[in-house]
Amino acid sequence: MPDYAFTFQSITAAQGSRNILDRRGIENWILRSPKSLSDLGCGYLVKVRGQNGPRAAAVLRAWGAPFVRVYALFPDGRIEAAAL
Amino acid sequence: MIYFDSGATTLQKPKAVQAAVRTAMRRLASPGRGGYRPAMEAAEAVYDCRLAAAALFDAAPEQVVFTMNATHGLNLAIKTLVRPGDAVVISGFEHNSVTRPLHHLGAAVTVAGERLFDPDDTLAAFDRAVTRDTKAVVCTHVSNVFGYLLPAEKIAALCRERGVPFILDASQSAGVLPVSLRELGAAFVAMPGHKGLYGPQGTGLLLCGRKPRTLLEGGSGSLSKSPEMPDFLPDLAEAGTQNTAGICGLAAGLRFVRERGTDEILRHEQALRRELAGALARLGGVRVFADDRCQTGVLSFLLEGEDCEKTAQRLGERGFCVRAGLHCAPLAHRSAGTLETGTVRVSFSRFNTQKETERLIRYLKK
Repeated sequence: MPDYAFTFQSITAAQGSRNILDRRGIENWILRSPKSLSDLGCGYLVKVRGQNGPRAAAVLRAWGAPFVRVYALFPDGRIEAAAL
Repeated sequence: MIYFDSGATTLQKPKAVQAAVRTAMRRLASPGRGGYRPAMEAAEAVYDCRLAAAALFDAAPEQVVFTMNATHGLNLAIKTLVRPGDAVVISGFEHNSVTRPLHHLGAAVTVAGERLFDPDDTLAAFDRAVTRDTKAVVCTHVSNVFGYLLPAEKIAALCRERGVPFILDASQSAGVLPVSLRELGAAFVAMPGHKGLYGPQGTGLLLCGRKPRTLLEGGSGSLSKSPEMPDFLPDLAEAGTQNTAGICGLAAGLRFVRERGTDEILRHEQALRRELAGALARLGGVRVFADDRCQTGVLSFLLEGEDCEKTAQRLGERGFCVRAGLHCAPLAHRSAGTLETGTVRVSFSRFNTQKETERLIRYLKK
């Protein structure tokens, strides 16, 4: 199962979303976005474990968190757009 | 040395402020500029301060913009809302950080409320002056010269009713009075970090009820391919590397204020101001600018027959740090009728004590 990454345009937006997930007990990590995922350069992502992906997406949407896209991060390094 | 110039900057800071600055300088790199540990820790430290400010001032973290000082924030706010020739209403107690940007812009400024310690008159004057054509209202929460507590909440309500953007200068109230961006419905609230919030100099906050225009453009650590600044807060208004060490100190200052509570801090400072004002009034030969109904911990006075700068110099030579002159607020002095004389200002912080105040009183009695 892939992990999931929610991309954000700014570190502040990523941190706010991280705190929302923390409050719901959803383990997560903030990382720099790979260059290939930040169309306009220099973004951040919040990564969650695969099994938490759908719940994390629902929580972030409910809070109006400004994530741009969701990606699936496969163990072999592949990254694909995901629909959660 | 006894420090009574907290209206300019607080000199005594909580120990945690200095510790936070030292730690930041040792351990933190540029926030939002890298994925390695010292950069990410810096980003967390900056966000921690944003959260602390958001909690104290009833705002969302994204609405908190870090500035160099209140003047920087006021320039951002004013230059967002005001164009040359626009009608702007200000109080009679504004600092040059408000009047000079407006003059520079060529705004058509109406001064409302010039009666010292008369909040009813101030409110009535704003009521008369603010129309639907007014492009902005700028009002200080507390006069930096006289400690006059203006009816800012009521003026903000009046602005909301008339659809006029409101800018609050909280330079003398942040950390002393409750300030809520949400309840004020203000377009902007500007404040320094280094006065009542006990942060280091070079720090300030602008609470944004709307998006500001940019004063500076440059790196934001976001959307780097774009030639434009990002259009979202706070990145929009935070070009260039942050004052991370200062922001960490400010976070510690904000925690100090939150733990003490603004009510307790205000009561303490008012008690000292009340004691000094009463003693000065009993001395005779002293013009004291005091009104317990609407005054914080800032007090101006004049010794009859002595230049205010001479008084401050004499006090300074005895180890009392007070500020004399016009306090960068000639409009406030004009309103109070002290433009030609200036005043001597004593401004208290939470770290001043009754003993210190009594020492000043004993010296002035001599």
